[in-house]
Amino acid sequence: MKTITFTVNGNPVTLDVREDANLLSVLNDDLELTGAKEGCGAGECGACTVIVDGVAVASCLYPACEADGRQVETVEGLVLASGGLHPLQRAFVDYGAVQCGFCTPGMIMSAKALLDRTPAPSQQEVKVALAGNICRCTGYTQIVQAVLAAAEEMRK
Amino acid sequence: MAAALDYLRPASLAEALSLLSTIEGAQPVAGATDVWVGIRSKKHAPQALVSLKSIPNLRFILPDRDTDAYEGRAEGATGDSGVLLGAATTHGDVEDSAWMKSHFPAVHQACSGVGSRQVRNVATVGGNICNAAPCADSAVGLLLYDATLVVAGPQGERELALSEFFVGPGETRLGPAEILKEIKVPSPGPRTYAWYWKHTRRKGVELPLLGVGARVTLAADGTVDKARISLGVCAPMPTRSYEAEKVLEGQKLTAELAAKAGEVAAANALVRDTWRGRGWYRREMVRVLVPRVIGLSGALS
Amino acid sequence: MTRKEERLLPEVERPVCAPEELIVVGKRIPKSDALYKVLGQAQYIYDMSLPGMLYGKILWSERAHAKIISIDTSEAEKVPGVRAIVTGYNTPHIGIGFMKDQPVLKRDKVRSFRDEVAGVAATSWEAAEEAISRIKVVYEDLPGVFSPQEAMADGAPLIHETDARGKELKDNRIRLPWKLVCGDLEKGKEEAAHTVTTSYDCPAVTHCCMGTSACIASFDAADNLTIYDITQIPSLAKADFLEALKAMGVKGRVRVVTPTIGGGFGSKLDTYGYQYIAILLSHRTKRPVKMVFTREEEFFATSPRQQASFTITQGCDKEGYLTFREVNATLDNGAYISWGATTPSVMMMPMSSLYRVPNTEFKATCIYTNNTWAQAMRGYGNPQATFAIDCNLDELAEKAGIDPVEMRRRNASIPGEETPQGFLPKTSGHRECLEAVVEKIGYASRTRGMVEGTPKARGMGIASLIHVGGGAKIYRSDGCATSIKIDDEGWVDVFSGSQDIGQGLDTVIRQIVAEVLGLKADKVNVHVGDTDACGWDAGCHASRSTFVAGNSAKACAEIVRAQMIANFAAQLEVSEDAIDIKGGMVLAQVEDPDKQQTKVEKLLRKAHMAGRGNTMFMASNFWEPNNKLLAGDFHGNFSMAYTYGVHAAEVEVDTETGQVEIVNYVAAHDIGRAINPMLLDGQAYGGIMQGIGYALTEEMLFDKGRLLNPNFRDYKILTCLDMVPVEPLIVETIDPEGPFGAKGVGEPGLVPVAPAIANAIYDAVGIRLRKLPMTPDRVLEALWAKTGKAIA
Repeated sequence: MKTITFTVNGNPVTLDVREDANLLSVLNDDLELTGAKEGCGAGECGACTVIVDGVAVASCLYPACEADGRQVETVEGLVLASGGLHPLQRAFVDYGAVQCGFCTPGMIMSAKALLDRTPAPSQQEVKVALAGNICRCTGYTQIVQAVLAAAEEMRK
Repeated sequence: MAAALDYLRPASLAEALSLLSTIEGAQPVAGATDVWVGIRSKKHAPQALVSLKSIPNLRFILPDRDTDAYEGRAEGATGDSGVLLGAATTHGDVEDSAWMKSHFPAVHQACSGVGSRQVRNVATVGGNICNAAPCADSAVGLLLYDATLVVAGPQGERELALSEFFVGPGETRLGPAEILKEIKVPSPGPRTYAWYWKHTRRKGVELPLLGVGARVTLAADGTVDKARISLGVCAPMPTRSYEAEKVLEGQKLTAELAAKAGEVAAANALVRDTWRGRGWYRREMVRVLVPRVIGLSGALS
Repeated sequence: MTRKEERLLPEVERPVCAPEELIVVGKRIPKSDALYKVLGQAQYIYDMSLPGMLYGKILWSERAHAKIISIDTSEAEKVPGVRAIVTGYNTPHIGIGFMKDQPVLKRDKVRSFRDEVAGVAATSWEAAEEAISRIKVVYEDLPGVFSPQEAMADGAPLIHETDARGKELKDNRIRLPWKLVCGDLEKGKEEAAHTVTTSYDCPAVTHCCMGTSACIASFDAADNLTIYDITQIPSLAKADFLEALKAMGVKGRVRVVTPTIGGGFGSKLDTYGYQYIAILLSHRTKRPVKMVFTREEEFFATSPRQQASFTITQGCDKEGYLTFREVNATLDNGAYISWGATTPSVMMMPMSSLYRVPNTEFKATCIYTNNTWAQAMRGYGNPQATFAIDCNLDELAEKAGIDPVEMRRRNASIPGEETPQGFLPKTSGHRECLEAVVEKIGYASRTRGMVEGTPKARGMGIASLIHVGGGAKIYRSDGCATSIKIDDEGWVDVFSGSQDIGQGLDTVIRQIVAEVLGLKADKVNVHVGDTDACGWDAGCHASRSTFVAGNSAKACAEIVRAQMIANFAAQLEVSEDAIDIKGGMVLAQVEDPDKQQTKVEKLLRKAHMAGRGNTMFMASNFWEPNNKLLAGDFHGNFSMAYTYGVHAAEVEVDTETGQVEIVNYVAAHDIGRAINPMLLDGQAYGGIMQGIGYALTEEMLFDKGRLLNPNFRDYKILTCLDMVPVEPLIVETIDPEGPFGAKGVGEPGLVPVAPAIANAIYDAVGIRLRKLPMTPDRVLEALWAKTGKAIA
């Protein structure tokens, strides 16, 4: 076991973790942040996507020990200080980008990581950023519409 | 129960090398995307993972070290310089580098197409090379530029050509207590055209069915001074098609010559016939894509 | 009945509500639970934990076909944390599948790589996996057969020696003689001026639900079972589990609860072995047992779309009007019988009624093999059948010298006309869909053939669909129960037997009930997924939910509304027809201005507590659609409404690499009325994307029964980068049978995609692809076969 200290959604956390644990299991089991989910366990579907030190990562392949000293953001931390929805969350709701919802937290975090570094992305840039997030329900169109709408909202 | 696994985060290269020498079954890891999948599927059971992510000066993109100091991480200046990549540079770092896009377009294309953005954010070029899959996109891109590798070990540092690094699928000349430290890519010189094409069945999250890279450097009189054709998944490791290169070198480059290079490359490619892709199709794609990639590089215009 | 003359079409009654009067129905309101999902707060079964819960894993067969000589669990039992191990030898026999040919835990014999040989419950996933790895099974190999041809060859081994009743079987053919005859085939053949015979191959593809199969089974002290289960058929699953309890000698009742589901697409239309194994383990350990499939298990151990091979002949007269259709289908049933073996009953629908064809004969044979076995997947046989029909129709059009669009025009459905199978579609927007799509995609002015200076060629293709849109009587009951109550503050609770699998059924019902009651949508709360609280429903399948559950909810809401109107009229001292409820306000046509507009809560409270015959308003309703269980000859109107559509694809084919790019896609669906156009678009985009995967990239690849690609890396599900420009068009024909005129839409989006793309490829490069998926190597191979060299 190793002791790690990191921040999750701005809050400092100290935990003992197994060396073979991935970040996803720590988030789900130790911290009860169940938004990110295991869809494949092999980094191929993106349902487990969270943001570590500003970039989107597949948390099912991210060693928990490596999170020590780093900043982790999950979908649960997106809610604004005022309590309102983050523009991405609002847009996903309003544009029909959510059906079964399993891919949604990972999809939103990939989108957030994109908008954090590219506030005015093209449609192609959105697709590249979301290429690692598989959705079986929506056919992606309404998701891309939502991300572009959120980007525009955030630029105001 | 599950085999015990230790996860170590040395703060210096020397410490990392010491751990690799002293711990039986220790393995260096950077992004961990390949290694972790192997552990989880029980294909590998290393005793310890030695993370390289906390070691300074392993992650950077720089102009050649002869012209600039390399402390810290910084982008290269414009100009004709080659590039020095820290082995722990991520594919995302390369993808985001406008400098790499303009100076080493084929490497940029190769790195930008790996996996997904989530994978590219953590997976390193050095890790991709050391994992030595036959498809390793970054290696196929770097082979076009005669890259050399700087390897650190208990006996100090040594250099070896990337084209000599691979021994077989998943096997390299890296010793058990060694770490890939840097990738040196010399300047290809003026009048250089390059392109990398990853042939896939869908556009995202793909390992290539095959990868084709082409680089042509023209002499002042317009003939081909240097030609490099690199292939992924057409041999047990990323490889060059020396036969196809010989077709091009010293000649005036035309569409017909490019097509001939494609035929020669196809004839000599060691493609496999598997359920992932039939042999005849892979071979035909080598034949079609080599001239197409040469065309896309702009060398013909 | 002749086609060429003008004929009077039967009158179709229009529903009472004119579109302009609708307030909530027809609006693009967000899905009711989207808020929780974007917050990461929706509770899926993976997030659930019960006190004392154990973790269950399954040992899968290591052989495709073998006798089980022995199962030794002694080493496994020693693993710390193991609490129970079940096999076919220490549990009572529980048979599943509608022909009951499958024991939940296998004894004596395994017939496929996904046979369950043992189940383990332990205190952690790791302990359960360790125990699984220590179970020793001794097999004696039997020869395996991996295609219908191999299974029917001389000397082929019998997969099942007897049926469930013990009757001996002589060969691997399943005793489900699917046969549909409409009209007079021979007469149709005589009348044909042109005929085309072709064969088609549709492989197994799989649902790829992002949430894998999972359940938690738990018994209380009185032996009552609660199972948290991601099922599309809560009521039927409950019945199945009750039967299992009987076999176990357990007298308790069953409650099925569904948390948020991570995708359905038909995958959860039957019960599976793992659910029963969880129940057995839970009963044995007296603790809750949770089972969750890994992605790999989800690929190889869940049931895919039914594979099918067709040989089809269609004939038309000189003007291109179809005179007959003759089809033979062979289905690889796999090791055990589930819904896949009934897909021919749905294939009959397009066979008899896709386009107007007076004479049809369709036969299907299902053969046991040692492969995986199929269940339901979006379209349920219709996509496979439509691929064969609409590709062959394209060839027939060419032979007859008729433009592909004109061919569809001449043979398009006529609303109100009974089809040869006995369907009575009161509305059919087939023609409207065709014209809308052809215009929108610019078919008449399309680029066709090689694009100058490139190795690429462009072309367009068309295909149509018919699907049930008003329920589907495949059981003796196709009904749905609804209960509604409204409290003193105007909050409404609706309990529906139906299920939300992500498609938005919860929202559609909310809109329908709010519309009828005259309340705002956010005052209506819809509950699904609890068999204790919600009534019976046949299940979320056959695109029936909007129609059946919607009609049920509407009828129930109308009862509540009538109660309210009667009571409010008495309170306000006006006649009932002077009262209306809109937007939460009770409007009365009276002179007294104080009585003209009253908040509904005020009158509800008065009704309840004013002391003059206190009452509250609530109702229940069981709505059974007036459709027919298909008779022995499969004739009859088995749905109350039918959904139509037309898709057009524009492709660009790279003639050197064989890659096919879809550059434009237009799809029109006649769905009666769009209750929620945003959710409807979602079904179109999602269905089309799945259809494109089916057409171009998805395939389960097997080697002697073993799945080679049980992961997202090698199973080519499409990503966001593979998105194509899709324009979904909504055609509203306002069906008199549907709630506010609505028909079902869950499946239609997928049905005609593959033939539209195949026909477009032909238009571009002149090759006919008859095997799915149409991968680049298959395209290239066909191009070479046609020309022997690159196309000029």
